[in-house]
Amino acid sequence: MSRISNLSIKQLSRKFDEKLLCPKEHTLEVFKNIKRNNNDINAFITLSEEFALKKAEESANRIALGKKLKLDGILVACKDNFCTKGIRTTCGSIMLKNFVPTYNATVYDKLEKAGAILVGKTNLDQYGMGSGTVDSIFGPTKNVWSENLNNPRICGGSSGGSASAVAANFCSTALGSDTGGSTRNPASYSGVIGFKPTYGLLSRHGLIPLVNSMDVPGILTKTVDDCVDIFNTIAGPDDLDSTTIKKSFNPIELSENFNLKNVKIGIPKEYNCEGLTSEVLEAWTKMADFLEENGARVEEISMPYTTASIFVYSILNQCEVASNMARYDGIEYGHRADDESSTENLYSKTRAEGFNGVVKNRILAGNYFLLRKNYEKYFLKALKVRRLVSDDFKKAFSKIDLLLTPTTLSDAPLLSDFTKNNNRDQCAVQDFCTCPANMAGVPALSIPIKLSSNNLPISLQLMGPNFSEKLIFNTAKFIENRVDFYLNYNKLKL
Amino acid sequence: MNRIYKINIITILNRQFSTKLAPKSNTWKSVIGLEIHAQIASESKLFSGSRNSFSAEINSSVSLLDAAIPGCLPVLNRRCVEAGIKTALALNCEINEVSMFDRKHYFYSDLPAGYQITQQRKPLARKGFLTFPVLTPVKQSKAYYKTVRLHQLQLEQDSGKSLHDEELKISLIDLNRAGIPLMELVFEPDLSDGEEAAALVKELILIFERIQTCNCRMEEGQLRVDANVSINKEGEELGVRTEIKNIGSIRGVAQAIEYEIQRQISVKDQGGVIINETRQWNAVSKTTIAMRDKEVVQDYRYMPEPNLLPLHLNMTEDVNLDDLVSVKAIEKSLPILPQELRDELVNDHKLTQVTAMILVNDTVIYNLYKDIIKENPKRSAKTVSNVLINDYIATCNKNKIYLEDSKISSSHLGEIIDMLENQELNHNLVKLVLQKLFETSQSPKVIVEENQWKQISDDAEIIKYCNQVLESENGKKMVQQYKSGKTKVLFAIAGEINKISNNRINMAKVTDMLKNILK
Amino acid sequence: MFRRNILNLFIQRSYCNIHNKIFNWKELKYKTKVPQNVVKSIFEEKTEKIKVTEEEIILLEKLSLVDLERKEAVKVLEDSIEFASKIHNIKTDQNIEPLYTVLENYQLKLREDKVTDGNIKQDVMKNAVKTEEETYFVSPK
Repeated sequence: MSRISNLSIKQLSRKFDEKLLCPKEHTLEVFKNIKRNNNDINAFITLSEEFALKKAEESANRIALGKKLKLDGILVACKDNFCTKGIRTTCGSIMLKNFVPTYNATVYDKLEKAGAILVGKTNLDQYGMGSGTVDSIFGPTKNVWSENLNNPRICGGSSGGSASAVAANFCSTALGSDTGGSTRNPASYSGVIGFKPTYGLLSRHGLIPLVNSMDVPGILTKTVDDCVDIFNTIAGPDDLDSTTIKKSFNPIELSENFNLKNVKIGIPKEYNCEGLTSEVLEAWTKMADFLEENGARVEEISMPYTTASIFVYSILNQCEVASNMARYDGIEYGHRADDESSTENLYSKTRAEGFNGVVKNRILAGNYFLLRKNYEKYFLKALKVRRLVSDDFKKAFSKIDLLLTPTTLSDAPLLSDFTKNNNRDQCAVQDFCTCPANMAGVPALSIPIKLSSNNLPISLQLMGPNFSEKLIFNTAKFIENRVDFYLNYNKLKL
Repeated sequence: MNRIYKINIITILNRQFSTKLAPKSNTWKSVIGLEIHAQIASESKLFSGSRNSFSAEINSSVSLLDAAIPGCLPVLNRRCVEAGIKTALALNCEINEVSMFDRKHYFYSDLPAGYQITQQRKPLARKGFLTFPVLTPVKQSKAYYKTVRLHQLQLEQDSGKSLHDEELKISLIDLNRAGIPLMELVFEPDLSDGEEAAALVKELILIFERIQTCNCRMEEGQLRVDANVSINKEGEELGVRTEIKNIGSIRGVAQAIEYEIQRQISVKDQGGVIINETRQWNAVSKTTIAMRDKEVVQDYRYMPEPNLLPLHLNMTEDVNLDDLVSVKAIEKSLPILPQELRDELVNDHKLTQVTAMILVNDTVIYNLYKDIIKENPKRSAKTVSNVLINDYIATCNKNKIYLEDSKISSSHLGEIIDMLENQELNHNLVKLVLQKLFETSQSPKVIVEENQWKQISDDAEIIKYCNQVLESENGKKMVQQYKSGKTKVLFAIAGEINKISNNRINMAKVTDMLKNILK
Repeated sequence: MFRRNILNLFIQRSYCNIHNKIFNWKELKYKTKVPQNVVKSIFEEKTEKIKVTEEEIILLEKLSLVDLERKEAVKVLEDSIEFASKIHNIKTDQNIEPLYTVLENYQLKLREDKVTDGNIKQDVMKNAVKTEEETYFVSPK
């Protein structure tokens, strides 16, 4: 493995500044790594090598002219549900297999405008509906930490391609999306930082929606510093997204001498749920102790509606999916079946061929919940319970500053075990710790802590009140400095 | 170019139905509710920055959002919110401080997203009402006021258009109209026939003209009327209703509803049942036809639009609060509405209700009226309205000139009115003067002068004319009849005198003089 | 589920990973605040048996334009509804307002009424599989 590609964004940038490294050279080298290893991992759906080399050239020119942009030469990947101009955006589905957007998603556009270089589009569960990156039409993405790639571990999902790409050093950072944990879950299994910001801080324009009221672009990086750099680049209001917060965004600077004195950390007891493995519990326990040791006030709290989140999520998700997927009829874009006998036949066949079973079932269930007779019983009920979940957070944050919980209940399952369950049960287990934050819109970050006995990453989650990104990052960095998970990447066989 | 066609007063008054229907059965009562879609007059669309344009090149006024390209999000147009509030205030609505948008789902080839963004559960405004005049076509004297309640006013986006190519068996889809802003006005079923419905639409057009939130070009679909029609017997529950979709003219509204009422009556009278269905008005055959496609049970699965936060309005007196749309500021900017104009005509100008209704019913006529009075406030309101209603409109119609295209100025009309009031012109000659006005560009005074239409008021000259008639054979006969007690003959004699003077003689003086001579 | 004993675990595990050198995973300094046993949900676990009727299936297929072609699919649908129905084990008082958006305290930003978009016919039609002379979108009649 190349030592260079293991550098942080700031370190790489300095190398560019000092002319010790050229963006073109860096890009070529990373593509070499990708070509060597991506077949094993399957992190990418589409590679954009030509485009990347062109961008690298532009970066190089700017650097030569002394006009370097903040992210010049930095390689990024995008989950394949962010629209990228001229580069196909598939959502891992037959429906959008040939869809080539004519515009950039705002968050990607900001990266591009800051000089970042897109290496490719990463794999995901179809439309983001999953938590394993196992049912893309492009095949599953394998966990880079798998003991045996012939009997691989799942990388988590649905932003599994992005997490794997970062872990495998295919890029410095990757964009994911997070609806119920889709950024944090694969981050947890893949041993990278996975960050879901406060709802409304990052634009969703150009993100092909799963659940509009919960979707947030997510950031995957190796280090907290990188995550802050990317977050600072892409956060802020967008005139093209009415659900971004109008207030202008002030970039976050991490404190040099951050300490945990006066930080109150809550341990919501409900996160010790059925299925939590002893290793994760152990890491959680030890980390709470470590934070306390370093001056934080740690206390157990109760958030009784935690277990309700998954039902709220299930209903709202399926309803919005039913609605969002209504546009796919083969007329304006997307797959079009070969049946011109009638409008209805064309639509039905297009949708039958374009969607997989998971998508179809969610559409049907969503429409069931939205029927006039069921609206109050399911949809409105879910919104009311969502209020209760959200109130749990409000109450908690009136007393404490941060929550520390597991991100996932275990280390990465074997693909063969994982696929024994159906999609619904997979999600119900995988999203347990992550989806409450989406119900409330609060920021959350998954940070790798250690390796399990299987030599697989174990991660924990920090959650804070809206706009508490700075405290979350500071605390995460404090943890990162001590656990130094970073060194483990050297053990990856890639 | 599409012509702006407005139905003027005469066509309303002389409306004759080509569909002759049997007189209504007096045991049946009809109940009508209207739902009106009015396109908002704006530059850009409701949720995107593409042009709100009727005549653009196919699929050119379309943004990615309008085509429902994945990932694009709606951003609400401020002017449309303001237009909705203005309209709601003109219709006496309660404005919701917070309103919400909903998705209404159905599959149709010209609805690219598979749903329409509308306001179902918490609309912009609710609980309005409107009082409007109903001028019946046959008898003006039966004109009356009617009040209808407005259930709600909501903002929503229009769909695209599909043209069906019968030969190729395909639909061609143009999305220029997709996303154009609409206000949907849902009225309560408070109307009782087609005339009232047509009068309501007419009044709405007048209001829109004044507040300028909709251009109301019905032939371009800027104002589309759906009518819910049911019949029942006195004291019984409301009957099953049918919905007539997309009626495209005021005449069509009255005709379609009247046809549908009669159709329902004949179905019922023959022992049949009315089914809840959507029907289409065919303006050529003058019938309503059931639309086959729409019979399936529809469930629109309304869901709050997650990409738009709730719309907050500023209801306070502080009109600059937080960059929100200020309801008070819009309220202050409201122009005088048609009903206030009518009240003013009746209360201050002492005109009759019917005259006020007719004047206000056409903005061109009303503006002429106002200008004529403004130029000389001493002019008689009655004479002015009389000339406008009875002479001016008739002359325009005779010459097939749209009122708004007529070049006759208010000052020329004022001149005619002054000549009438100064006894320089006989009312009988007004139409002739107007006709000449259309043909030449001379002033009415010159026209009267040149054609020697000036009124004859000189006593000596009048006596000459009187004598000429009285001394004729016929005149002598009439004098005898008058003297034997048939006093009405006097008017016949005066008429003869008028005739030989070519309508120029001062009739008041003639009658006085005749009475004296024949004493 | 086996009972976990945190102390046992810490003693038993021996890690081959590098952390051992710099981070002491073996002992706790304080009485832990992390619950060591599963905390049961306070809500009942009742499940409502859901049967989707033939009529509902026909309606849903029509509204969704998605076919439930196999028996299995009906079962999955029923299972999804059953799972969601567990939400009824959670009581919601009359006075609880539905949470439509987590940004409920923010105001909707409005756009000025200006033409800023359109005239991008090529872009709009670029991904259509079928068009009529690149002028109209096309659907069968």
